[in-house]
Amino acid sequence: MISLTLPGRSARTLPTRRRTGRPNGTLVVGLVLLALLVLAAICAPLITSADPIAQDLTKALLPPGSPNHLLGTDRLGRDVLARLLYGARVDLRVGVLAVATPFVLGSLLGLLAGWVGGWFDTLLMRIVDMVVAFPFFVLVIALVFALGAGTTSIYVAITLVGWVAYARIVRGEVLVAKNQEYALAARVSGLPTWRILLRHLLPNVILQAVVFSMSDIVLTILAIVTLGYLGLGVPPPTPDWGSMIQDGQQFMLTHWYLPALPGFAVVLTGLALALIADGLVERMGRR
Amino acid sequence: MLAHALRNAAVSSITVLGVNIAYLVGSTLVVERVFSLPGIGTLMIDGIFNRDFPVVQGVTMVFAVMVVAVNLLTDVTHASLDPRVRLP
Repeated sequence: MISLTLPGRSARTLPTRRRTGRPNGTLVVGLVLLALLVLAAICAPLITSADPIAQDLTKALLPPGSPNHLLGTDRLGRDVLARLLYGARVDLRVGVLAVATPFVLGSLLGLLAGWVGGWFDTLLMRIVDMVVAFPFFVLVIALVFALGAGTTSIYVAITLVGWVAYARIVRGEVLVAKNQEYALAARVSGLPTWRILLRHLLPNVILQAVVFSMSDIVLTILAIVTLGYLGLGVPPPTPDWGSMIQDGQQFMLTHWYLPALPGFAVVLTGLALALIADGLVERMGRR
Repeated sequence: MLAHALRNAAVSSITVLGVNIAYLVGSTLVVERVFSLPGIGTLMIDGIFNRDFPVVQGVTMVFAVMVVAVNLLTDVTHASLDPRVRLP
């Protein structure tokens, strides 16, 4: 009796489970973590009433848990929690925007290069090779230096360096996709080129680039924090995790939490985005 | 095992090694700054703070040459390990 019902039950439940798709644990954890971070950044004024740039030298270097300063204060008496939360606003915004621009630019150029081919493709790929020859950090730092420190230079520098990866990924996918039946069918039925590219090819080739962009945001936030650490990031009074780490570095032995807390925030953001990327890959692989 | 298995297994790790070395070379900027080591990373940072354009340009160029050299070495090693790969 039991041996009869068990296989029957498993045979009935398994296919339905597979069809609806199990909730993808990695993706969900990543999304929840990221949502919490974004929520904390948006609700910063509700979580803490402290001003992230107000200095109070009489209350400098307070330990975590002090009254009115949950995570203590830094060497200028600024509230660490407030700086962390407002820093998240700056770093997350710059990170997302500095990935969105190269993503769009690189994908479109890669799409065109793969579709048109010929001299345009050759020229574009040689430019890509040239940019790839420089190490990412060195080129970004040199460009930010040449453009002058500030948020705009960070956007421009990361866009100029970052688009090549997307162009390469999308071009490779287009080269394969443009000879498949659906692309040929769209061509034969006389659709305008922009329609074939944007409506038929793009949705099929973009997934790989989307997955890459998730890990790229991690790298970009890391780059922004590094720039802040080197003194080339967001200008001083504005809170930013990189400059917080740099500020706290000299108190490493006496007040270890000053550099450690913003470092932990970077790790947490990176973890959330890496989980989302992994979850997306898993999801695509299952389809 | 060394002659047959390692030869084929090493191909992908060597490719990753090339990419990683390029990344590590770039990260020396930060590492040298944290531990104040005297290297070309520190040279570049000092150049940045003194607004010394030629130094920054030169160091960037040296970094690029290093990365290209490592990539070339990776490709050559790859080709020597895998006979299917032909260098142009």
